[in-house]
Amino acid sequence: MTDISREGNQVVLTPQQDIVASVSAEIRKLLKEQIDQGCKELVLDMQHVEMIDSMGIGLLIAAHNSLNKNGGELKAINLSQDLMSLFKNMRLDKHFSVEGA
Amino acid sequence: MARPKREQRDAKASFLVSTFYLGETLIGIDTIHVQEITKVVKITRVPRAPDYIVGIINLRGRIVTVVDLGCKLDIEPLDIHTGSRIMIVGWQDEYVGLMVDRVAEVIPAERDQITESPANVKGVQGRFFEGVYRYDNHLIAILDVDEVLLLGDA
Amino acid sequence: MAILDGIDDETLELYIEESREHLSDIENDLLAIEDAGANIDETLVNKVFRAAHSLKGGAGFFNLTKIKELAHRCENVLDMIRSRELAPNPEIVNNLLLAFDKLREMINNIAASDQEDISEFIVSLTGLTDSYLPPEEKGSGERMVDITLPDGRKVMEVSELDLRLADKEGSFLYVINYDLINDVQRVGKTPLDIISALCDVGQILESTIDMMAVGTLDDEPSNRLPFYVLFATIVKPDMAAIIFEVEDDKVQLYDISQLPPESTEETADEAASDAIAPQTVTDKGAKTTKAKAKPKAKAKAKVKVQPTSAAAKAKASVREAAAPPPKPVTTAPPIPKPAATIPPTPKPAATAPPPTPAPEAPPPKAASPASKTPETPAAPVETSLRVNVAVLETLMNLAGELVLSRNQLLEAINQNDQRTIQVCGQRLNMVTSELQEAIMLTRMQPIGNIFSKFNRIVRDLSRALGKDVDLNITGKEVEMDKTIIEGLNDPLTHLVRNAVDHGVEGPEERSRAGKKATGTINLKAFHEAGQVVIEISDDGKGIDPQKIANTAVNKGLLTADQVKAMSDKERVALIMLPGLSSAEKVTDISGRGVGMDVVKTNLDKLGGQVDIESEMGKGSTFRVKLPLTLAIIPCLLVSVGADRYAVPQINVDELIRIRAAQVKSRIEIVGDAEVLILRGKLIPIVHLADMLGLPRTWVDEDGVRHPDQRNRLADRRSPEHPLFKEGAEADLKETKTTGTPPRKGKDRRHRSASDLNILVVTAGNFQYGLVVEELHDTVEIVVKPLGRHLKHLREYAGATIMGDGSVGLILDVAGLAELANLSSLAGSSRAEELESEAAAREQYQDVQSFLLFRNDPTEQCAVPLDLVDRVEQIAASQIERVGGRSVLQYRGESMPLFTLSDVAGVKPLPDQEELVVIVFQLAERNVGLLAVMPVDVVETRVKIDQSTLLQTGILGSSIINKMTTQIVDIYGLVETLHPEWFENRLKNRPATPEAAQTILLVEDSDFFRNQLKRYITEDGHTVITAEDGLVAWKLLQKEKGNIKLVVTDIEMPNMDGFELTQKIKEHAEYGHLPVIAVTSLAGDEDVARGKAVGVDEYQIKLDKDRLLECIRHFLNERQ
Repeated sequence: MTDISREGNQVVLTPQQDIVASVSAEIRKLLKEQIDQGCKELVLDMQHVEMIDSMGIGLLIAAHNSLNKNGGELKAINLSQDLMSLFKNMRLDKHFSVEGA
Repeated sequence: MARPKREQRDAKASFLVSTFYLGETLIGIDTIHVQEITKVVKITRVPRAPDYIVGIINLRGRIVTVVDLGCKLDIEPLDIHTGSRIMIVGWQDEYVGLMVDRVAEVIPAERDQITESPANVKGVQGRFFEGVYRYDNHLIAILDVDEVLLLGDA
Repeated sequence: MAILDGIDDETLELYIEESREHLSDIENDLLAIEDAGANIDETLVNKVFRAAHSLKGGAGFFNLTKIKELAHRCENVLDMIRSRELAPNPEIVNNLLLAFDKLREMINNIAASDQEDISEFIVSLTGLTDSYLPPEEKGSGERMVDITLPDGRKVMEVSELDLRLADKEGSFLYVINYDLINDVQRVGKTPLDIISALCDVGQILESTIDMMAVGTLDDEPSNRLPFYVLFATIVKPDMAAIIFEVEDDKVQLYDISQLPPESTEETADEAASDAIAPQTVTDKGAKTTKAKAKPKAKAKAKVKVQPTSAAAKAKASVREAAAPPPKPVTTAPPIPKPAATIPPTPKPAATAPPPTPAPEAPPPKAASPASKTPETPAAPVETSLRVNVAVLETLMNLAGELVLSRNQLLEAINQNDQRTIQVCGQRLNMVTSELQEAIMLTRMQPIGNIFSKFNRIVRDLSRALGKDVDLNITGKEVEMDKTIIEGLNDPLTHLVRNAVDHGVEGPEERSRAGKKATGTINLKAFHEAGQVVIEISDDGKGIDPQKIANTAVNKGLLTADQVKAMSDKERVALIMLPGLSSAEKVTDISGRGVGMDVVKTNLDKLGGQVDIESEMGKGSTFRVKLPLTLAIIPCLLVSVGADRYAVPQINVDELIRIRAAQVKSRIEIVGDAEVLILRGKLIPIVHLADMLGLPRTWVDEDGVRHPDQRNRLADRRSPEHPLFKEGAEADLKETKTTGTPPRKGKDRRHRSASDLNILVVTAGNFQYGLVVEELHDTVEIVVKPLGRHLKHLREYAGATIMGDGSVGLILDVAGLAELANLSSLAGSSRAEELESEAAAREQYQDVQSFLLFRNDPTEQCAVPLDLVDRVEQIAASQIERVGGRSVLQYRGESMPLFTLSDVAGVKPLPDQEELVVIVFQLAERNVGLLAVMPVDVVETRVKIDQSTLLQTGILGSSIINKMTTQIVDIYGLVETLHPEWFENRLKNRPATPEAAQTILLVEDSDFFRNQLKRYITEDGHTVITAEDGLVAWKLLQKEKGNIKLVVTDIEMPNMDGFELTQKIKEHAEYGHLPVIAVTSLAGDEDVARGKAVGVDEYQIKLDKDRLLECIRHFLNERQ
């Protein structure tokens, strides 16, 4: 359900569906694996993501916090306009890097 | 004064040379410079211009300065006659006319067969030429257009 | 540039163009806003506000962050002006101007705009909004306010300004505390739903998410995700919770009044709390401080300003002088004092530039960087042009016409239909002309485009110099070719700056001089004779000609002798000499290495001419004459030998043809140079043939060209005068005289061939005569540049294709003057003498009334008004032909009609229906001269040139209303055609020579003297002439009893007609002599005065019949 590609220290996760409560456990597991394996740069490619709910937001923040602790960083790319607006209004862009599509 | 000749061109390349006479002297010019060759139309003299300037002509609405090549190369000033032609060459985003006595054939040439011009070619200072080329028992001096049209010496 | 990725050039181009347009007017709008002061013109402010707004909007779209930010700050300030919270004083406007300048600079170099450092502008603008807020709001722009929850936890900080602005807009401020899990997720919503809902009803000022509440991936998924929003909305508190879809207790109304005014204690307290190790709430290191939101000094560090710019430095220095010394960082800013002229500094001056001074503060030095701005941003090269739709339509139509005409022409050529070919040719000709005109129109732009910026320059500069200057601009709408307008920018700027800097005095100096303290500069554009004239005049101290002259001599530019021979005007004009600057000390403003010579060079390039008029203590006027367009200019064709040359008409003042016989009297030798005496002025002359190194030739009456004899006399030339190396003076006259073909009988017309044709031309500020061999037509030519090999020839301004397809050279009049080494007359005492003599003569020029009319629409003619009986408008159809002669039924009789072309070599009357008949009474009958409109009457001091254009029916020529005007000799005209009408008069002639009398004619004007002498001599008398009363008096004594009658002018130098008459009448011996006074304009007063001193009769100068009758009458009476 989520594509993973690795390039050096950078891991790109491309979820194939919205990041919502129902899939959060699965994604959470994936993220954790990557970080545990020493990934310092985790890129979430949101090209297939239309919606992120509160749980999803929580998940992203948790991932950010984890990475932050290990000296890594989170990046969200290919955000739709709606998601961009969401991230900006929540000031999440102050915490990790976000890029529109 | 002798500036480095433009050696950056592909030495192997072949090119065409338009040849012409100044008096009895056969001279060539890389056809790449030549835009067209016209008959001598009405030339307006320009008083106080350098001696080697014949005057100016109207080339389809453009004012073109005409240079007396014979005078410029110190051969002898040309007389205008029915055989006289003006070779229009492109030079520094303008056109300049080179007046010659008679236009001869266009010949193919190999760049690597051009030899450095001696100090004096057929009585003309060598600096005006890119080099000399032997063709069919003729020795053709290839004109260095930039040198010939160089400003600042009359 | 990454920021421009994905955006097509065209869209960006549009934004840039639109922004430039917005910015172009802003300067003047802002200045108008400043002028209006507190009396705000809302439309204007709104306009500027909208400009800033659209700049911001576009910048946001293109992600041009710096432009967006700066535009946003401008918008804030303007918004406060609009809402009357901020009175637009000069300081505020200055800051806005600077900011808009910066914006313009960034727009012009948009790719690099994000690299620009705009902090200085941000700070000063924010400072503005601070300093003019009520005192307690000061500093709010940079000051951050902590937003805390009821439990005292600080959750975020926000700019105080934003809070206050929101409050001003009438919004309520809420702090909403969402739990994204419980309040959102659990009710089946997403965060985006919440945010969208909020954005529909208000504005999220700030928000924060409690990152730490979430933990890491290692922790269990949090069941709590707090999200705090500071929200500005018009939603009222009672509705808030419902609209925000949260429980009441999650919404907290933020009361702006809780923002306390700064106080020493609090700030100190704050500073102390800063020192406490903050407890981290977010990863950003924000700290929990106190329960109460309060201003912090923290922002100081955020907006770090490096006062690198001159503006900031200058401002800082003013402040240091005027304001209390800056407080150390830890101390609090002072509490505002009501009387303070400088607003209190809300933050230490060391870290940020202080807010701007109050209006009463001394003029800030900040104006000098402002005045510098106009030249700092490289003028954008416009790549597109706005064209009036109507012009475009015209072009389209003409293009259509052109195609149509071509098709017809091709068809006609195929058919060999000569008539149609001709018709098509004419049509093509017409369409081409129209097309050319229309295309020219597209290049025409109003000069206001550059004029408008001078408001700013004058304002900034005068403030910097502590002067008070009003600028009046007229003629903004005058249109000129865009290249000319662009080229005018620098020279005009220089001239305007000079007017402020050197022209207008400071207020004290003005008061001392009895002028009003405020100086005035007039900037004016208008059309005159097919050209545009731009005048920059000031009412300042004027230019001291002597000082300029001294400088020129001291700097070795001219010799003392040269300067001595110059008129004041010429001396003033010396300021345009390279290397001469009139400023005694180089000021900041004008001492930029650019002198007046550069102004002149720039204007020369545009075909412009500068004329300076200056009066000490009264002011100076710089008059710049410019062609409307550069591409096509009217030129006069002249020839030397077989070659034709074009002389731009703009350089030609007049054409003088000197008859061979007159060369001697008209050409003088001053020093070693030939000069032409023209209406009291000495004008150096140059032979074009010599300048071009061509042999001089002359054309005989059969049109055959001969080499000029003078050329063979070359060996006798004095070698040290290259200017006239082709002919020594004496030779010239000799040849001219001998070269003249013998006159034929009474024919007063002259073959022009051997005469001297002189073009009086103006080069820069200096006039000279250019001798050419032949004059041809005036043509409109298209200027083309010469090739590189010929560019260096200063003789030529370019070349053009002539009608026959050949190339013609365009002469550079200024270049020729330089090559000839002509400066204004090389000094010699003879020159001065001649000049003053001539000038004295000039003063006594008579005022004469003329009736002006046209013989042809292009040919202006004049007759003395006194001779005219009536002027009638008639239709051509009213003219009857009787026996080969034209007559008109006029007052019951057949009045004979004439036209000027009947006798004179002028154009025939145009074939048109509306004509004018000028009715004269002469030879005891009415005669009519046919002419065309317009008809006008002028009263002018005529300077009649008797040598140019002289022929039968024409007395001479003069410049009237800036046109060469032929003075019609109506007697000569009628007499040539009908000598029999005058037989009657001949009968009255003295029958024998003995009966002829000697008459003394006193007249200072050569023209009138010659005319009158001719009339009287023709009547059979002997005439002795005198130039003035004094000469006449001496002659009278010398001739003793010889003289029988005196005809005298009134206004004359040395001794006028009244005095002469009085002397005569009072003298025992001459008292009996009749004195006839001739005047051009006999006022009643003059008549009375004349009678009082004994004038026997008054006559009008050119009324030949009556004058002669009067003379006869007096002579007969005597006998």
